[in-house]
Parts: sequence; C-alpha cells; structure tokens
Amino acid sequence: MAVHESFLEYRGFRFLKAAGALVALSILLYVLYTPIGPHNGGTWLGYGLGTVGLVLIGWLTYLGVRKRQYDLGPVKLKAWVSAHVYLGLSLLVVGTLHTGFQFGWNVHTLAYALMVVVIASGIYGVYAYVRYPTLMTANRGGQTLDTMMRAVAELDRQCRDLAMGLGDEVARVVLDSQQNTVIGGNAWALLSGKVRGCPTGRAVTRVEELAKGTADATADRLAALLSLLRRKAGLLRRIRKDLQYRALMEVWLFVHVPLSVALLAALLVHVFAVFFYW
Amino acid sequence: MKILVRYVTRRPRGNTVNRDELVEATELGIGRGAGNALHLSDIRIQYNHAVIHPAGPGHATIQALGDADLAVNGKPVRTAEVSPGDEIDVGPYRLRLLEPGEGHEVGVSAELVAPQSDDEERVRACARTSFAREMPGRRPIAWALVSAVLVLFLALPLYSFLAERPTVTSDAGLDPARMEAMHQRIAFDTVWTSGAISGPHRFTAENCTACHQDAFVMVRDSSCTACHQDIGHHADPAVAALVGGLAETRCATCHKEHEGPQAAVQDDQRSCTTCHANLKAEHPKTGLQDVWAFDPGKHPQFRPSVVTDGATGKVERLEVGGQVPLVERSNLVFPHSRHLKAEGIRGPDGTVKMQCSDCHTPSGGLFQPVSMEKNCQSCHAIKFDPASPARTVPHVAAEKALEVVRDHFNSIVLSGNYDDVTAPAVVRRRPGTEMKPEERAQALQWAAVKTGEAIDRLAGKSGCGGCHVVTKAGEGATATLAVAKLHVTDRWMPKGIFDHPSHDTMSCDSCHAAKTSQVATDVLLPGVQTCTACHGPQEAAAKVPSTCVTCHVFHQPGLPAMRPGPDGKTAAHPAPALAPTPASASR
Repeated sequence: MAVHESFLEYRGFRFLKAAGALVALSILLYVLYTPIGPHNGGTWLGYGLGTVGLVLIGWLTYLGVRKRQYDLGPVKLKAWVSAHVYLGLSLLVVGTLHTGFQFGWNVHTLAYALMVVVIASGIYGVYAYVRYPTLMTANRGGQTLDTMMRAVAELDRQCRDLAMGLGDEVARVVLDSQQNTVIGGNAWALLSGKVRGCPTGRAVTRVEELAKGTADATADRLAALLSLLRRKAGLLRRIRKDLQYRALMEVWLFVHVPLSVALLAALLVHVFAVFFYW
Repeated sequence: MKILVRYVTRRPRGNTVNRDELVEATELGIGRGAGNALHLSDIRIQYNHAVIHPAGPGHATIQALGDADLAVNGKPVRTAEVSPGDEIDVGPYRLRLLEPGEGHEVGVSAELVAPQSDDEERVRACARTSFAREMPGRRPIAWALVSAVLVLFLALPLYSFLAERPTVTSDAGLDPARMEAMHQRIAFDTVWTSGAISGPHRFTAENCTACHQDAFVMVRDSSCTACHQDIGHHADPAVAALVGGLAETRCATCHKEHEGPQAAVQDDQRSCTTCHANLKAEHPKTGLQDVWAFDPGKHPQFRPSVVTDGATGKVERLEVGGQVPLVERSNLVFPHSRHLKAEGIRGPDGTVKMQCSDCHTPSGGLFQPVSMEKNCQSCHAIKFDPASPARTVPHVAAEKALEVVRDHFNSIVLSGNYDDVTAPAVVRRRPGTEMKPEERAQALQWAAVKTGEAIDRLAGKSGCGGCHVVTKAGEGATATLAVAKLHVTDRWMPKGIFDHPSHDTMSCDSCHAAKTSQVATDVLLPGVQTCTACHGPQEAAAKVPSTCVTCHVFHQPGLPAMRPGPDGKTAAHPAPALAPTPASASR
C-alpha cells in the first residue's frame, strides 16, 4: 500500500471499480429491458433498481455514521470513506434509471431531488477535502491560526507603543484598528472571507496619507507604524482566508447531513405511498 | 502656585503605591504628551487632553481640550468646578482633587482604573472563528426537514385518504356535477401521484380514492367497471374462467394509468402474446392459432369466415391459400372481371369504364352494402317484354315480380292497341272496342304464351338469372321462379379491424384481385403476406410498426360485459357457465 494513498485511491480504486460495475450493469439492463409501456419505477427493473437504490442509501447513511467513529483506525476509516464516495456517486445513475426519467411535482420526485442534492453536496465535499487542505497549508505559511492571532496581538501592542508619541489622529486610527478589527464573524463573513471597511485597512490608508505630508523625525516613526499596520493587515488577510477554507470545508455538511436525513424520510414516504396507492 | 501631582498605582493585592511630584505652575496640563505636568501615558488619552485651573485652596476648575472625553462624578462635562471628593474620569484614569496640605494648595491624584486588557486575550475574545457555531445545528435542521416531509407528504395525504372515502362505487355512472365536485376538492394525497393521469380520467385526478379504494390493495377491476359497465369481455366468460392467464389479468395489466395525458391503453404486442404465443400448448382444445408478432411466420394466415353451403348458409373459417379451396357459396352470380374491363363495358348511354368506387361506397372503415337499386339497376333494368322496353319488374320477391308480368299482358288483352304485327288482331284492336267471346279466348291464349316467354326470359341470364341462382318450376304462364337466398358476407374477418380510408394511397387491386375474378365464388381477400409486405411487428424499423390492437380489439363487442365478482376481480367472473354470478344474472 502506498504511503500517501488517499481515500479516492484506496486499494487500487477498489470501490470505484465496484461502483463502476454497478453503474454499467444498471445501464446495460436498462437498455436491454423493454418494459410494456414506458420505463418507470413500477416495472420489474424499476422495482429492482429501486430496491438496490434503497439499500444503498440506507447503507451509505450508515457509513456516514460509521466513518465518523474515528476509533476505527485510519485504514478502516479510509475504506469507509472510499466506499461512501464511490457508491454514493453510483447512486446517481441507479436512482435516475429507477425513475425512468419520469419526474413530477410529487413525493417521488422529492425523494429523487433530495438524493441529487445530497450527492451534489457530497461531490463538493470530496472536492473540498481534496483541494482546500493544500491551499490552507500554503496560506498559513507554517503558522497556525493560534500563532497568527498571537502575532496580531503583538502587532497591536507595538502599534500602540509607536502611536503614543504621535498625534491624536494617529492614536485614534491605531486604537480603532486595535479595538474594532473583527476576526471571523457570522457564517457569511466566514464563508466570504471578506470584511467590509476593516479598521486596520482604514488605518493603513490614513497613516499612509499622514506620512506623505510629514518630513521631520515624525516621518520615521510614521513609516515604522505603517510597516506594522501593513503586517497586521497581511496577517488578517491570511487569517480570514484560513477561516474561509475551514468554513468551505464545513458548509457542505450542513446540506449533506440534514438532507440525508430528510431523504431517508422522503424515501420511506415514497415507498409507503407506492404501495399504499398500489 | 504649588500643585501636588500624585500617581497612584494599585498593586494586585489591593494596596496602593503613590509617587508624588510637586509642580510650581498656574495651571496643570493633563495629557499623553511629555509637556503635560500630569502626564498620563496611555494611547486612550489625547496628547493634550484637559487642563486644571486652581481656584484657591482645595478648589479648581477642570476643562476638557478639543474633543477629549471628560466626566465628573459620572457626568460628561466640558468644564466643571471640582473640589476634593469629586471623581474625575479622564479616559481610563480616575482623578481626584486632594485636600490642601503642607507645601501645596491644590493636589491631584491619578489612578489608572481601566488598564489595557491583555492584547492576546482581547484578540481571541472578539474573534468568531467557528463556522459550526455560527450556523444553526445540523440536527435541528434535519429534524425540521424530516418533520416537514412527514407532515406534508405523509400525515396530510393520509388525512385526505381517511376523510374522502371512495366516491365512485355505485354503477350509477357519473354526472357532471359530481365530476366537477371531485375536481374541486383539495386533495393532499395527490402528492403521492406517480405521474399525470390520462386525459379521459383527468377529472378524477384530484380524487385518488376513486380508483385506489383500499390501502395497500392494487386497484380493483370493480373501480373500473363502476363507470365502464358495458365493456365487453375478451372471451366467452365460461371459457375465460378456464384460461388461467386471462382469469388473473387485471384491467390495470393493460390499462396503465399515471403514464401521461395519452389514453391509458396499452398497445404493446407482448400484452397479448403473453397468452396468445403459446395458447395451443396451454389449451389444446382452442380453435385459435398461436401468434407471436405481425411478421411472416409469426402471425397465422388469414382465415375468413365464408359461406360454404349456399343452401343452408353455413359459415366456416377457411384459410387463404389453404388446402380447402377458398370458395364462398353466396348464391350470387357476379363476374367482377367483366365489369372492370379496361376497355369498358356497354352501358345504357354508351361505353362505361367502371371503377370500384362506382359500386363500393366508403362507410366508416368499411363500405355500404351494394344494392340492386343503387348500384345495378341503372344498367341492369329487368325487362321482360321486348315490345314494351320501358316496362321492368321491380327487384322484389319472384312471385310478386311474376304478378307484374301477368298483369302486364292481361292488361294489354283488356286494352288492346298492342303495337306488334305478330300479335293477333284482337290484341291490336282499336282501344274501347268490345271483344267477342272467341276473340277473348284468343287474346288470353296469346297473353299466356307471352307470359310464359317472359318468365323464361326472367329465369335466364338477361333476367334474374343474371345475378341469382334461379330455379323454374312448371311451364308457361303458370310457371314459378325460385331465387336462391343470397348470403353476401358483410365482413369476412369480423375479428379484425381494417380501416380502408387510411390505405387510400394504395389502389384497390393492390390487395383485391377483382379485375381477374370471373366468378362470385371468389373471396377477394389478400393473404397476410400482402399486409406484412408493408406492416411489421411493433419493433419494426423498415416497415409500419403494427401491434395486435392495430387490427384487433381486446374487448369483444358481441360478448357479455366484464363484471367484477365480489372480490373486485373481473376476468375470473362470471365463473363456470353453470353457476352464473349475481352480477351476470342481474344483467
């Protein structure tokens, strides 16, 4: 086993092959089988694909619970995730063929739509897990969120000390930057990674302006302060990017998990309704 | 004036340490700037924040500079007179005026009461970095969604089902008011629909229980026959009960609903061939032949029902091109070939080139019956007296026709003035002239001879015998003619549907060999191979795809209606013919 084998490559794409075989078999049966009347969920193939889909959804949801039990160990965990991803993707084909491409404003299509959204959010989740950790590492530059925040605090102190001997306006913008700069915020702020009118940004701009019109000894101190403020602004950008990556890696779970549970409910109602009004 | 400035530092344990400075000045500047006598080294203090003007022992006035913040005893002020005991807030510092003492008239103490918080703690405290904490919990979202699904898609539909019991249960049929009412109701259970209802049934679309009358039970045939009361059976009910496949077949096996706006009629050939491809093996006594598809070798040869005995009218099914010659004994004498001669035939007004449509008038998918009056008489008037070419006999029963003949010659005897030099003088006498008894006898004798000749003529080809099989009995004027009953078949293949108008791009003789048919015993029907030259089974790509129901119907019009038994099943009822079910008995 390769050292850096990801869950996608687990055991030479074992689950990709299994899912591929399931998809190929489903498509083959769908093409070969000509039901009396149009393809739909009520033919023998429709019932068959529906049963496979139902079992898969139940199992995948169970996998979702299992793979969060980290005491399974890294290998076992990787196997569960790999199976979850590939069989989940195959469900898109199995479920769609089960519908016979018949859609309407009803509980059956609701279950299908929920399934598609759950799978789509899962695809995004896989993308996030593959893409963002690398970006996060690059963005942090060897630091952690904790050390970056400590650095911001230290810069605040240094700015304050420098500003003591400068004018009131400089003191005000430095104080504003110290007291009103926001790290993170609500869900949208975390996801967007942007803060409108950041006081530190304002401070940089204002001190730049003040430095231009000063030529005496104060100028050196202003330049030093500007350098500190710019470092702080750069750190804040990296912190916000870091928080954005974290949020992007988490946000899909707020779709994937609740909708999976809703899908289970819709699926039960779907099966119930089919046989209730047989 | 001597002013005491005291900097108070509070130790962690609560005790204080003072550092006193004695200043000689008329006023006391307060600020972060080094030039201030009361120097407060905090960035929250303005460079020159405020100034104290001593006003005598133990009294002073304090004045805020610029926009600096200043409060005395908790009240924001710009300028205030202060005395010992007042609490003066300057930024994070609390100032107090001291009692006059030795060596000073005015004293001021300053204590940092709101020190800068620890930077790291502050940064951490105001950071909101957890996305999960900023979102509503996944579990509450899940519960909300599950509740919505269960209420909207399970509880409310169930309520609709329980509240609205079946409304189409009687066989009273449907009236427009009830159809409208069924459509108007709010039905939550329509979210369970598996697809659009067919057009003819759309008015029941809001009323699931019109068909789905019991939970977890497939739609019963009785739901269908509640409205479709007179739909014909597929086979003789007594036979149908014996045929396993048919007895188990539900209406919905072929009539699939919720498949869109088109009518819910299943036209897949496999619906029929499931039974009919292997009928002989399953039911050796059946007279039906196996069929797989509409393809050569997979569909039996046509077996038209023809009259095989002209005397009794006996009808038998004979195969086209089979061992038994396909001959119909209809008692009609008619040569199609002579009528359809390419060069035309002699008509009353000259040569006529006849077309099929001259006699065969389309009617629906078939044709109107051919009749003497409409189609033959214009050429074939039944004349019997060459001296009176305008006189004809009507196309009626033979004895009535002969009465017309006898009356004709008798009336000539009575009236005289007959324009024929071969006739006796009495027959040619002037009208109104009396006849002598011997002349009367001579005239009647002539009439009898002429009547006999006319009857002979009628019996021959130029009379009735031209088209009918005629038998003459007796001789002379009292002879009688017997015309054999005609058995002209209306439909040779009554179990098949053939729509002539949809084949109007073809010529008639591409299927019917009428031009070469010299006798009326010919059955001018093509074999199945003529059809399969253009038509193929439903999966055919190079031919016109044709399924069983293209030419056949499932519900046979001549059979009793399909009525469900007490268990709601149709095809199994009525069961054995010896014991009719209440449903069939009531009909």
